[in-house]
Amino acid sequence: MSTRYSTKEDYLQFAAAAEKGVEYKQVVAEKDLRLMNAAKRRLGLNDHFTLGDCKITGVINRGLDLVIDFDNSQGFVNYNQIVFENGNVVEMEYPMEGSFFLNHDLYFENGLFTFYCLIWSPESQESAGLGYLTFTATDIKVNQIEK
Amino acid sequence: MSTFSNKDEKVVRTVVADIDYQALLDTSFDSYNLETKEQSVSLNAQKSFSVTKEQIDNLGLDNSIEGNNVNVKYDINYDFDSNLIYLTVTFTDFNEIIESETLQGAVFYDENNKIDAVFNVDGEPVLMSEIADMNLVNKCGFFGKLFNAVKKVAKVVAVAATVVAVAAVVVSTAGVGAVAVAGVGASVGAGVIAGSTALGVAVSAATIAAVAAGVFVLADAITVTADVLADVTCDLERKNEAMYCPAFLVGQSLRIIPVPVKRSQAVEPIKAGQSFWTVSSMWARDLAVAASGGAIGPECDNRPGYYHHYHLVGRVGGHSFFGTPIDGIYNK
Repeated sequence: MSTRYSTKEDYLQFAAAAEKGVEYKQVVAEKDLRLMNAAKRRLGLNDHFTLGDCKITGVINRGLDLVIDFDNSQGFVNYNQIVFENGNVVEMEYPMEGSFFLNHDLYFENGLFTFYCLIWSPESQESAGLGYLTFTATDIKVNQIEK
Repeated sequence: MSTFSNKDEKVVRTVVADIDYQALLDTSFDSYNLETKEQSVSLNAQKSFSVTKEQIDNLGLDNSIEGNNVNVKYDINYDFDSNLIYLTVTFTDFNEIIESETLQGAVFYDENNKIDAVFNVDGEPVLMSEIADMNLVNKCGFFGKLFNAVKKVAKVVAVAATVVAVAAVVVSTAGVGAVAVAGVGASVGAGVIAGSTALGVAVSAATIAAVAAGVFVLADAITVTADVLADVTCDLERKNEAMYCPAFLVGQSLRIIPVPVKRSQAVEPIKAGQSFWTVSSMWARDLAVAASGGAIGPECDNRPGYYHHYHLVGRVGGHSFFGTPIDGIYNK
């Protein structure tokens, strides 16, 4: 089983280090790095794939697929939809709609993608507004759709 | 294009205020009052026009006033400290106000060393010299609303603002005993964006004026490199107060306009979605707090080339970026 690196603790430590101007480095296990790279290769993603700061605006089930629309106006990507084929929500601490993607890890292992995501939710009970979201999927596609 | 050459080098140019603004005022307005104070110049002027049917339609007036006069009142104020010029045009039909809107602009010298001003019209920079061009009148939002009536007065408005700008320069320079202004656009840098001229980065006077007027245009933004960031950082650190450069996310890269503004000038734009970059986490946090009463972060996608940033409360508005990118990678 792969490890979740985009954790709440990690986010808070990273923030504290940034505030002090100190560098904060994560150490990723070699096995996990291999699985992350496998996911990127399969999807043709570069090192800069990130949904960070995109706001989830809609979640629908289309057949077996999970389709998530998001507002990318404050994000770092051009696309605004991600489709998890044969998507399965493994963990969802807070409602997705209205939440923002923060950091995430993506793995490919045994024919399945696992997408661990840290979110910021207006409904979070935690002071930093953090929550977890985890999906699995057999494939992942990103789209830029006209709104 | 006017550029700023070197950090400590200043070009001194003599401003020849050869415009006979008194004569312009006499011929342009029915009545006016030009007042100069220690820190400002103001012009209140008025002109009447006979209303045609077309103007009635365009301005949404009652048909019964065809042939009657519409009064146009101009209130123009120029503040030396901020270098901002405020232009309010009020149309009145008898005693009823039909249209009244205030534009904020900044005065600067163009590449021919002529005084011009840039106004923020619905988020777009509009030069005073362009407003004077009749062909552009209908294209700019505010003036477009006034259509033909403004067509007749556009030049008057331009003249009036120029008169105030010229008068302002004369008054401000007279105060130090010489009719001289240091550096192209030096009058622009009078307070709001003081120090911009010290940057080693080439910036046009129009860009500086646009920033002063609160207009941040992506086309004016430059890609952040180590050299650019070092220059801007040095410049900001020399100041005693927090300053912020307008920033844009272009794909996964950050671009900045190397013309810093004060925090008070960044608050409304960041609430509206404009991002800013500054040197320290403290300054970046302070901007978020000033705009929203709190701050989220700092956070950053922990990948090479990304910048730490704060968000406003509720994650609305733009980013408040700071510092150097992760791993020192500037261009992804």
